[in-house]
Amino acid sequence: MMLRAAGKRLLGAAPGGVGGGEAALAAAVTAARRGYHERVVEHYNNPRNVGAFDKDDADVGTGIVGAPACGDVMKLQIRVDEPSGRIVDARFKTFGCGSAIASSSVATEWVKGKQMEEVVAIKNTEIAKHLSLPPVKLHCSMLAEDAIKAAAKDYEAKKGKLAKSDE
Amino acid sequence: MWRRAGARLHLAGAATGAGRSVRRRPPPPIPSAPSSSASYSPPSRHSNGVFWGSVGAPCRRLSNQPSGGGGGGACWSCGATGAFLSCGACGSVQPVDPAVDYFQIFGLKREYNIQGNNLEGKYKDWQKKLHPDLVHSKSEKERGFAAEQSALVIDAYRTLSNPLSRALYLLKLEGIHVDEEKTINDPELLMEMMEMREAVSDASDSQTLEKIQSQIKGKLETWSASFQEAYDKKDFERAVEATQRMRYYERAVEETVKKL
Repeated sequence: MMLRAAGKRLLGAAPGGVGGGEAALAAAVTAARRGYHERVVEHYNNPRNVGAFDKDDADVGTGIVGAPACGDVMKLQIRVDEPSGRIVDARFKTFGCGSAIASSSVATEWVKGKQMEEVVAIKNTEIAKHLSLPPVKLHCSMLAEDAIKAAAKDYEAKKGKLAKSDE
Repeated sequence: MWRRAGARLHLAGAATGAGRSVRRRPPPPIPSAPSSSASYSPPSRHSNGVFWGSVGAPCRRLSNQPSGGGGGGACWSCGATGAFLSCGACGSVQPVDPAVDYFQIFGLKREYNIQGNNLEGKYKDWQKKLHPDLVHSKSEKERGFAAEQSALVIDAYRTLSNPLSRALYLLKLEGIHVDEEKTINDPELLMEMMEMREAVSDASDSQTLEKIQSQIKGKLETWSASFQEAYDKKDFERAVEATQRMRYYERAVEETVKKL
C-alpha cells in the first residue's frame, strides 16, 4: 500500500514535490515484493509530464479514456506545432493503478517530438514490453494507446473545425 | 419460479446459541405436492429442523425451472431426499452441485432487489452447517465437501451483498458477458469521473471528503435504480451501461474511504 500512497502524493500537481529518496527506496522494496518492474516504479515515483494544458487552446488535443473493468480514467493531452505537425509537448493525468500511471507517463514521453502519423502507430504492446507489464495489466497499456489516438483525433477535429470557420 | 423459501430457511441450531452442536431431527414427512404452483404457499416457521425435503419437492416438480437443480438430491450418506448443501436427515455435507446458483443458496428469487431477506443471518446459518471446522471428525471426503460448500457460500454471500457484484452476477446468469477490457470513451462520463477523482484527491479535510462521498453514493443509488429498471425490462444494453457507471462511482467511493 506504500506504493499507492506514494502515487497519490505524486498524481496531479503535488505541492509537496515529487517523492524523495526514502520514499523511493521504500516503494522500491514494496515493488520488488509485488513484482512491479523497476521502470514502472520509476514512472510511478517520478512521473514525467503530469499536469494539464488548457483544452481550449487551438494547438492542444485532449484524449480522455477509461477502463470499465477497474474504473480507471486517463487523460492525455498533446500540444502540436501546427506548421510542422510535430508534437512539441504532452501532459497526462491518470487515476488508476501503477501500471496505468506508468503507461500514460511513457506515452507522454514517447509522443514528444513525433509527427501525428507516427504517434497513432504507437502500439500498446510496445509500451507493455517497455514496462514489462504482466498479462493481467496489458489493458493498462491499451488504455494509453487509446488515449494517444483520442488526443490525436481531438486535435485533428479541432483543426478541421477551425479551418472550416476560416473559409 | 423459485419459491421464496427464505421464510422457511430456518436451519436448526440458529436458535440454540453458539457453541452447541446442531441438533438434527428427521424432517417432517414431505407434504403432498399441490396441484398447481400458484396455490403453493410456504408454511409457517418451524423450529424443529430443516425443511429441505419439502422445499425440494416443489422445485423438482417445476421441471421447466430455468435455474436448474436447486431442490437437492439424495444424500450420499443416508439416502434421504432433498439434501441441499447439507442433508436434513443426517447432517452430512453434500458435494457442490454446479447447477445451484447463489440466489438458490439463500432461497431468493433471481432478482436485483433483495432487501429485507436477512442475507447475513442465512449466511451464518449456512456456515454453522457447512464450515470445515465443524467436520473435523468426519471422513476426508466429507471434509472436502465442507471446504468447497463453505467457500461457495462465502462467494455467494459476498456477491449478493454488494449491489454492483449482484448486478454483474445477474447479468452473468442471463448469459451476458461484459467485455471489461474494452476501453470506453464516453466523454461526458469520463470528464465527470476525472473531476470527481480530482476533487477527492484535492480534498484535505474529512468534512469535504464526507460531503463528496455522500454525493457519489447518491449517484450510485441513482444508477443502481437505473440498473433495476433496465434489468426488469430486459434492456441489457442499458443494464450493462448502468453497471459500468456503478463501477466508476464505487471506485471513487473507495478512494474517499481510503482518505478518511
